[in-house]
Amino acid sequence: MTTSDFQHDIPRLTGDAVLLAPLAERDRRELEGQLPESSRRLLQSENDAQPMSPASFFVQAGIQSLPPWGIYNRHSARLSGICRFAAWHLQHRRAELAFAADGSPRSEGLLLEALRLAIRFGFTTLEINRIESFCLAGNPATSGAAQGAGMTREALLRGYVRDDDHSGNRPAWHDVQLFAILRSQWSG
Amino acid sequence: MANTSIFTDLPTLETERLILRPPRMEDDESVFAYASDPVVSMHTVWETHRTIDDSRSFLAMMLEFLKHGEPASWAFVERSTGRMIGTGGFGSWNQQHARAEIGYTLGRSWWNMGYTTEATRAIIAFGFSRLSLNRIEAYCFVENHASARVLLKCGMQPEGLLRERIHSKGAYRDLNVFSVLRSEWAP
Repeated sequence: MTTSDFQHDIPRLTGDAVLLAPLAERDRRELEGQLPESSRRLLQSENDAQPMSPASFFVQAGIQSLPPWGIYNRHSARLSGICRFAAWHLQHRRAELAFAADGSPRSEGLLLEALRLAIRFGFTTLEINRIESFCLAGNPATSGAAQGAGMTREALLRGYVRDDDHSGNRPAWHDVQLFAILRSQWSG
Repeated sequence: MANTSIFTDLPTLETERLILRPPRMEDDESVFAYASDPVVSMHTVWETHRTIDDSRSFLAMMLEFLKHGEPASWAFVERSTGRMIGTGGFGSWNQQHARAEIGYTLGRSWWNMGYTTEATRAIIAFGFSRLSLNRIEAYCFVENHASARVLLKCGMQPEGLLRERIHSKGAYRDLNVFSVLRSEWAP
């Protein structure tokens, strides 16, 4: 299975309170102005979306990205976040699950359910062995969501991303926490 | 932002006992001498070279990277003998975030002499000074204790263990990740 299987659309995933659906164009435009720089790759095209960690000594060719899902409240149809498999390494059967939410308390539960749906999709449909997520160290909401979805914190990558929005004369770099879940540890 | 053309005209680096220079096709026999050693390739993702054509393919790939200004490896030459004994350099370079990954391979005859540490320190210094990197990282299989020692000697900090991160030679493998930041680098 490759991204060509999802060339025209990614499937909708339905949970109790959340719906993962292809991002509506109006929502994409709205998000472009709202997402911080570090999350804008979530909106890039499948060919342009950059993985967080190419690690090229250990990775050969074959990195693909799926289109993003909008995370919608199933009942109100309101968009509360976005997630996507931003890097799918076919050879290593590993994918990065990237996500962002609007930060409101009511979105926390939706994000958690969305991640669980996406993880299920990754393990069962994409037949991935490892799903990983990179969360800014200063963002407890995203790291909390990753852990709540069953991911294990594996590493603190220091000085990993540059903050181009940093005020002042010198750029600041942020640490990133790397979380991952393996198929063998996934309880379904 | 650093000039990518630095790799099209890769500078030669010099250390006390080594010269790090651009690789050449004439290095094929030297590369094959160590790359055909299964002990050397035990902890690599590449397969043991079976014929010298495998080594020539590797060198051709390196030269192609350099031709296009992409990060590649230096050839390590032992000053005292003039022999090419290994390679090492940058495998990826994320300019947006000013970080790059390093890697290296050394012939078994030259292990435990400090050569890898010496060469890697020169590469790290180049990365901070010429590529304006903020972070230099390295990955190694968890079983590769020798490589971990090299990285620690180079001032790198262990950051975590990445479970089943890659599939190599028929199995999922765990990787250790290390890094050194510009702010903590002591030449």
